[in-house]
Amino acid sequence: MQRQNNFKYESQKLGSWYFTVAVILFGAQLVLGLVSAIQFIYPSFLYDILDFSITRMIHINALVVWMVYAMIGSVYYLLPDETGIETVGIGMGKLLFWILTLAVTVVVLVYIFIQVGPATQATIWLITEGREYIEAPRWADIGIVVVVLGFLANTFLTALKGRRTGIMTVILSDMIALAGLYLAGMYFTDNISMDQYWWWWVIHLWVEATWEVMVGALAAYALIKVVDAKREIVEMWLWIEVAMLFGSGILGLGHHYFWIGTPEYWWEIGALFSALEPMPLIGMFVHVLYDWGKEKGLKENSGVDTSSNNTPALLWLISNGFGNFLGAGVWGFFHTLPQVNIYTHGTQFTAAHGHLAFFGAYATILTAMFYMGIQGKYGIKKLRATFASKMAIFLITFGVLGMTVALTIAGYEQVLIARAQLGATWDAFFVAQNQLWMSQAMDWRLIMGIVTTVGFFYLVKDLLTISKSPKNVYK
Amino acid sequence: MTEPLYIRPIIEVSDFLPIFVSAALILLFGLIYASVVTLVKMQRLKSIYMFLAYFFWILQIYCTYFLTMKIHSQPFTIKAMMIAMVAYLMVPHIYYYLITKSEERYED
Amino acid sequence: MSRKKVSVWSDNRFWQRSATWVTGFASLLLIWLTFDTMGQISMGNQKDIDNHVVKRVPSATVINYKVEYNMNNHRGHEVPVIGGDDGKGNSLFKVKEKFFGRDDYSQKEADALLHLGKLASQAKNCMDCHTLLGNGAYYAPDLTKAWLDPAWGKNGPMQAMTGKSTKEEAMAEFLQHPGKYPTHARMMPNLGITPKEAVGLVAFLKHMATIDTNGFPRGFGKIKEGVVYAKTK
Repeated sequence: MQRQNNFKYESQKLGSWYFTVAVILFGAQLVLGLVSAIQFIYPSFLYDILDFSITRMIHINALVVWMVYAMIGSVYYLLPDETGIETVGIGMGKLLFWILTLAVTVVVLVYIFIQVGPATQATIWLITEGREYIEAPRWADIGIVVVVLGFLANTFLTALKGRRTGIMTVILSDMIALAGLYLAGMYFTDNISMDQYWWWWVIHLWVEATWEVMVGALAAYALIKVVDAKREIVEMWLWIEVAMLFGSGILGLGHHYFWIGTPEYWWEIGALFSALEPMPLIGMFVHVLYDWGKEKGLKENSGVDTSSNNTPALLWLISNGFGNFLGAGVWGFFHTLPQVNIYTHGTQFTAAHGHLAFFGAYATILTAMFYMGIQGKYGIKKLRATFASKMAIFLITFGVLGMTVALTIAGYEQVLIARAQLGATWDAFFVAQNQLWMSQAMDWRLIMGIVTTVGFFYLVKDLLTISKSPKNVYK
Repeated sequence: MTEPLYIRPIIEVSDFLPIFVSAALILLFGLIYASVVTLVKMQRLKSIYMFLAYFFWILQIYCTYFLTMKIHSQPFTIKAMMIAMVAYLMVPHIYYYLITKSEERYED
Repeated sequence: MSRKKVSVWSDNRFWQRSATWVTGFASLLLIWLTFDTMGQISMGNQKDIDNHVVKRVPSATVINYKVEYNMNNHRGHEVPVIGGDDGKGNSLFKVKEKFFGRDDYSQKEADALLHLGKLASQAKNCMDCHTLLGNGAYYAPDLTKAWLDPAWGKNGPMQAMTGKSTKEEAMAEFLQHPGKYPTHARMMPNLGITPKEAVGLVAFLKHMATIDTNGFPRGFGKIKEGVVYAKTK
């Protein structure tokens, strides 16, 4: 099989660059996650060299950045497809890619080799902002905003010049919100309640609102491409999803405002909108089931081969339906009501929810986009799942589920012992940490983390070689 | 602050497991309810199974009731949960209606 | 595309408009609530304390006062009590407490200490091991009410361990040389915290303990059975 580059547009090539960096950062996320997991079991591992605070920070930062890379890459990838023209400022797009990648590299090197600084504004500007998830120093924040503005300008000008589809409209308006919200994370205040109030605007409104809509739009595009879904239908549903996700997600922000010094009315707002947040997920599930049932019926009645033209991508899209429902839905809901949350807030429950939700809602769909990139790059008409594709999806899903279960058990133990029985003090914390249930849960978390990492190696192998496998490729 | 705010009793230690399990079951039963409704409407299941669907919805209500009682909910949380249950009852039907309408309009 | 019976429910434009309206409405509601919350969580000043005005986030000068975390019958959960308790869980704003030997920090001095402490908390990445107000990482204890933790009190082990006779000095000493005072296999790393930064951090912790967190964490340091249970383990 020949492996020439089949991209018709430079924009798609740029998209594939973003995908490549995303996969590398995905790997970095797993490595640092394993180190952090080891530190839970052997606290002296890398003590005072690369402490948990640093490994865990890079673990999560790598996650956030690889997902942002994959999203930007996806937009560049689908832009010419949607608009019908080449991205207007493709040269600028490429320049911005190198600037962003250079900046990310510098930030990570500073994280690893300088780590912390004196209590001055210079540290905030140059080393770390020290606010969980958005630790990137201020200079990098400004850099990110500049790059994103360039990206926005690029997509806007292209969309204005070319065809303007519903999917593009959603992506464009979502990108503006996404970029604008980042500004809320760029200021310093002595008032930690105020600090965390705006901090959640970035974290929650990214992860539980704008990111959800972004992957909704990517899924819509993928469905048109992979299973030939009708654009009108897919776009109509995209708008319904936007209405439901923003309708419940924006005020769902309230569930982060129970205990940070903010007024009591957030209990009510948080409880109501959190109870409604699973609705769009149930809706999406009904839709997937309907499509599956219909396709099965068609096949039985007419014998028409309705199979998709990219099975690995489709498998990842399907796992998104389940993962999103389980991770964001079930694991989110059972600790979200304020009466329960006062005990679960700040325990391993949150970590369990985080692992499954990020994987289920985002990692799945973005991996599907990687496969679509491969399909486009080599001009493959039908891409069939290989053994490696199946191993990747099985091991990663199984590993993440395993970590989630282990962390849930750890969180449950912590709630009972450290919170409900002992009242959350320093002593209470360590009594809970030293229980067998906790330490064994942490062992299992590491084992399942290794399983996930093995799955990741299969994924990388598959992404590199699937196009060479004649059995799995139909030109 | 003039009128008393909510009194929030401590949850019994033995109640935590039932609370987490029932909260998870609310969503799982909801999912089963939505699935059976969809499959019956698509005629992939006999219409008799519609009873099964509503049975799961009732189980879901029971779990919600159990949860709200166990966590000593205030009136507002109780109302929020009632709204959520009504929403659950309707969402699969509305969804199915919208799916068929959109297919009718745009398919073929 | 055939246009048979056209229902508004299957109309793309209709749903686009609905999505816009729903999003707009939710955003406006959030902005409105934000204005209200901003007013309620803005930091107080010494005048508020003098006038016995209860602020959700009080003045930095609370470091001059005795701080407790007591059950408030009116609220139905624990609240921070500043300068003595009236017996019902309300602050009296009277009883002072020495903080590094002084209880007369001016507004300016207290603000500067809090500023230094907040900066240090970010410069040292506290949040990537600890939780602050319950948010952060779960590798180390929650710091929301750390100032009130019995481990640092008169009967706790930390003052003896660090060889200091007050809570604030014990905390400051520990923060500067955590490697010297291991309490568990999991130790806090040495982060190069200077003596000045340590004082700032302790002021930051004491101030954080006075923030009204709606009763989080529940029953902090209050559960007697818990302490017994902890000792038998």
